[in-house]
Amino acid sequence: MKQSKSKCFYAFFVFFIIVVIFLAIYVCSIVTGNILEDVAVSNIREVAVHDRNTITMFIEYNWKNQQRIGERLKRNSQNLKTVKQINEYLGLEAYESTFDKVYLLMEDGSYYTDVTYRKDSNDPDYYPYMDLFKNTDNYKVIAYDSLPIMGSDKVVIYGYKLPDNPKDEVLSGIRIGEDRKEVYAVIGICKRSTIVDGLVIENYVDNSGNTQGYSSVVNKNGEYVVDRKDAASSVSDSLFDIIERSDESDLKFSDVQEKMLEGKEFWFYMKKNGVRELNYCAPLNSSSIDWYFIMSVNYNVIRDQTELFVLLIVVVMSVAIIVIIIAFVLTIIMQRKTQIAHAQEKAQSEFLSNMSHEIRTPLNGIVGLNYLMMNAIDAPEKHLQIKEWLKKSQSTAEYLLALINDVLDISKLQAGKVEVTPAPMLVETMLESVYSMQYDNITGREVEFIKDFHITVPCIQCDEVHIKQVLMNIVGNAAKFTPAGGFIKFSAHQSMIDENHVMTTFICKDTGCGMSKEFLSEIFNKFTQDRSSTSNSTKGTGLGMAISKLLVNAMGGEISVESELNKGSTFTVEIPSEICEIPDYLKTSSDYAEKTADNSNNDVESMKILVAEDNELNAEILMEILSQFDFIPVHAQNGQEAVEIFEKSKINEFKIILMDMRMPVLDGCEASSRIRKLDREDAKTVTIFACTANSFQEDRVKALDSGMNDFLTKPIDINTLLRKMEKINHEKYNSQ
Amino acid sequence: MGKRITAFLLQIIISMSFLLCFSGCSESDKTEKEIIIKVPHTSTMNCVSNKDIKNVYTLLKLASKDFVEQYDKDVKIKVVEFEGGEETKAITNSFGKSDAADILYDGFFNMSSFIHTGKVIPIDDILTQEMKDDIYPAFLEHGRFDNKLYMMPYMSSENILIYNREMFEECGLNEYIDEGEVISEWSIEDWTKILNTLADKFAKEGKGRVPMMMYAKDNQGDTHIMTMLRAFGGDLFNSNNNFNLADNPDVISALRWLQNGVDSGWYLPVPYYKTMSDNSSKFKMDELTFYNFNLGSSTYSRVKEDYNAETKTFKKYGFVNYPGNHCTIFNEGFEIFDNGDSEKIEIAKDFIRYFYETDKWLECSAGSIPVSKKVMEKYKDDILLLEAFAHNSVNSVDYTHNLPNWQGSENSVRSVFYKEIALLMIKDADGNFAVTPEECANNLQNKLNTAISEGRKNSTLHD
Repeated sequence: MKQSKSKCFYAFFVFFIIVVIFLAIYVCSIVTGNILEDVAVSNIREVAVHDRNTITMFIEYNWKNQQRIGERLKRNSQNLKTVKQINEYLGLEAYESTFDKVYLLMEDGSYYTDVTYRKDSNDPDYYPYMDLFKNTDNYKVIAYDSLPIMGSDKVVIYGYKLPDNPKDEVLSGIRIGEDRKEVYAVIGICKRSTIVDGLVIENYVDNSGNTQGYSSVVNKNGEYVVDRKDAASSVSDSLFDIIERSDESDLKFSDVQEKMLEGKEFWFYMKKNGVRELNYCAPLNSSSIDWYFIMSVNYNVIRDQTELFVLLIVVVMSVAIIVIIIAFVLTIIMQRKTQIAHAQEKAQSEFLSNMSHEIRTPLNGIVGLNYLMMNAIDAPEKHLQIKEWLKKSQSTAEYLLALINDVLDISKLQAGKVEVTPAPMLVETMLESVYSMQYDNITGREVEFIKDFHITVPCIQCDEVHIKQVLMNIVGNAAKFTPAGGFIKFSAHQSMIDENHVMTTFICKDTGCGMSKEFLSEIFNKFTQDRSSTSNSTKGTGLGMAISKLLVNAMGGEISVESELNKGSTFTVEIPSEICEIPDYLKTSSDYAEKTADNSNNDVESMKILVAEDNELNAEILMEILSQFDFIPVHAQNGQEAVEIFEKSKINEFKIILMDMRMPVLDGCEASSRIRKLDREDAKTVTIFACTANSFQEDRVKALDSGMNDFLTKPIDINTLLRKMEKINHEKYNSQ
Repeated sequence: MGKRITAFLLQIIISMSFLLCFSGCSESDKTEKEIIIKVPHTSTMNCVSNKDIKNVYTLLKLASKDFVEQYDKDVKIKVVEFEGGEETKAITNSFGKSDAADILYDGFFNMSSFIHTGKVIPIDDILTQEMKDDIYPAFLEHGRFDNKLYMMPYMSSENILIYNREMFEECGLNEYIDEGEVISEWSIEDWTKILNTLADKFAKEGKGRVPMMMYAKDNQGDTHIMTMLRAFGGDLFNSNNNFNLADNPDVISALRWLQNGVDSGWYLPVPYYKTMSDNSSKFKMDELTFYNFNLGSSTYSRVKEDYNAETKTFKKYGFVNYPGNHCTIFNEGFEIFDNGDSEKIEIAKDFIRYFYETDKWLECSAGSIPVSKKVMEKYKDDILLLEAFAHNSVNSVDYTHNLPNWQGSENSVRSVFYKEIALLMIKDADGNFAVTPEECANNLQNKLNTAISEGRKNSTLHD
């Protein structure tokens, strides 16, 4: 469960980091895009200013032309008397100039054209050109949609009023015609296309070569002086109509109108017919022209210009961020590993120190007790004292042995040399066994030992040895740390995982000294021991919990602990297991127990055991112990001798052979193999136990392969020997 | 569990990425076909049957709406107007783009060049027997090239000259005036006498009046000037459909006759820098005697006002064919473009078939000269001069032969012709003409045939 939470946490952390990266890149791309867009707009402004100046210069150039026409007129005015003469003169002026038509506006509002003379509004197609000069400006330019003389072409009318200043002798007082009327102004007319043709912006073309930007000129009423380039729009639309009908626009037409009236330079986005355009607006830079220049550029052009750069920035930034994050994570991992290495080094150092202390202390005790006993052995009055010292020596030696066993266990677990071998297990029986084994130990400390088992599935597939080891460790710990007057509650219950699997939960709750929070987080680590004051007096290697966790995990389960300092601890072990039927041998174990109970003494009494052991002391001790239990031990000093003794023995003379694995002349495995190969009735049936200080998996495999039945770890525990013998006999009993 | 969560979160991130990156960019797919009909802004109409229809744009908008409503397929028709004379921009520049025209309504004069782009499809299959029987064959013939029908005629304008009979009467030229709905036919000698008489009279009064239209500033109205090259008879083309001008004495005579008009005071001052509009304006001001005329021209309303229905006579105006007794016919109608979508071509054909088979749309052509006999029959009494024009169509000349590169490029026939005519009218500082009529004929022949030759090289007809 904890592991799952941890995975969730890491998943969310990764998600959070990715979201942060994504947002950072997104924000960056937006900001970069905006900056680049500003740059693009700035570029458009530059082009627009250039085009605007070009148009202004073009208009001013036409006014200059009109001035020159006036100057020439002054020189030729005396010859211009008839209408036809004036028509022809103006026709030639138009032909030579940039204008399509050149007219002369007279002071009374009448005017000469290149084809006629229009006196007043009674004449057809009379146009009040005098109205152009209502203001005081000498220069005028206006756009006109329909001038009959120009057919369907839209026109631009340029007006140049001759100066009244008498100082300008050249142009003032020009008189023409039969009645010698004074010329008021020179009018030049040309098609708007003369301006339009110069307005296609070549800078903004797409990949197909199509122009994506165009300029236009509007007056302050929004009416197009120079048409927009897109033929799709209605020819009569004004800029304000277009803004009003657009899909969306940054500015309302009233805002645009207001800015134009104020003569401001501005730009805005407008979307029409699904196409977004940037419209850059600037007044023509001449006091005599109240037109606005507008450059409209398809937003795609700006986007295309910025997109690649933004993409590049985003990619570079993404790579940079990813590299930084990877570097950061690697640094963290390295730091963490270094910390762990330091911690491990420290823990190992502490462990070695502890071990040194832990091993030296009992050894010192044993050496000291031996010394005391040797000195006192001849004094009969000291015999009771010696007996006491022997008990202490025994206890100390057992502690030393447990200590070394734990170290070996953790080594094996670390090396992965411990295999979980599930087999049918009666849960209640196992629990009762643990309870009974710990009962005296706990109650002897004046601690109440409560059991509370709710087992619904009696038999499960489980490694009984390992689970028992774990539970013994936990309960044993509770016993060690629970002061007199407290209690230990050992409970178990089950819950179904599915129809074939069950979760068995073992709980051991005590009212012991509890653990500090710091220790609690490290309790399942190796080489860890709580050195708080309350536990100083308690012996231990600090490996028990680490072993338990490794074993539980190896069995697919979880172990956890809750604890409060000075109040107690609760250990919970959850083991998922397959449900199985109770096998016959477990069902009949009680029958067998009764049978063997009746016969065991007799069997043991008469049982001869062949002990193959090269170490004289170990052999002597083992022989003595076996004798004390009424076995008849026969000693062989090596494997070869063991084979020979067995070969010479009567059939079934030896029921058991205790075979040391490592022996001179012939080792235990080879000796066992040879015994099994002997041509005699009991060669296959005699029980051979491997006896070794090592109990690694490969030793076990090697021993079993050579024909041995089981293992006994040195120093030989006689009770274990007896249990194993019982088991082997039981199997034989069942097979009969 | 952890992997599932991670995968789920990654999915969310990817989805967010797509949403953020592509928000606003998507467009829904359209299944309905959109047909684009383009029509020039200048296509005005004098529709008799429906006074609300003032131009072809309105007509096509209404017709397409009705078509869509009765059509069995899901279709949308968009009618787009473009500036008159902007055919290259509106049509040629749109080829291959989303706004390419599927149907073009325009004058054959403008449309014929598109036949040679290979984009215009032959539409003989549109014609039902009923349609073949109903449409005047001459109009259909004008829509053909290489014996295939590319342009479907709808209505026609026959161009002749209108004259100010008051000026005739003022100058004692009554003998040339025909009364009633008659289009006069004068010999070249008559023409010379009439123009000289008028010019002399106007010169003496010094008010700026002139008898004859002439212009060469741009290509507008160039067809009428080209028609006048036939004033002395003969065809402008040889049997290979090339211009035959340099060795054509009739053409050289016509050019000389036109050039002499400058010195004779027939035209407006500086005629080479005058436009058709200048002449139009001058005619309207009663300062020009002869000007172009057809049923769709703006002068037609004045003509109707001038007509006395009781006496069946005109007071102010008279009508005559161009010198040489020719008239020019301007057909208007439809072309269908192949934009790579056969389904759209079929819809376009269905639309045109529907348009011609629906009387209310076909009858809108009455106002100009309808190409439909039944429409002509129905409206001949309602349209002044309609019958006279119909009878006069025998004097029409095929002035383009639907040749390639007639217009649209810098070296096209229309781009070359007016410049050479301008040169014919220009005098140098010594008072001599810049070119002789022979030189003009030679230059015209070379340049016009070069234009056609280049057009033929680039011409691709649709399969």
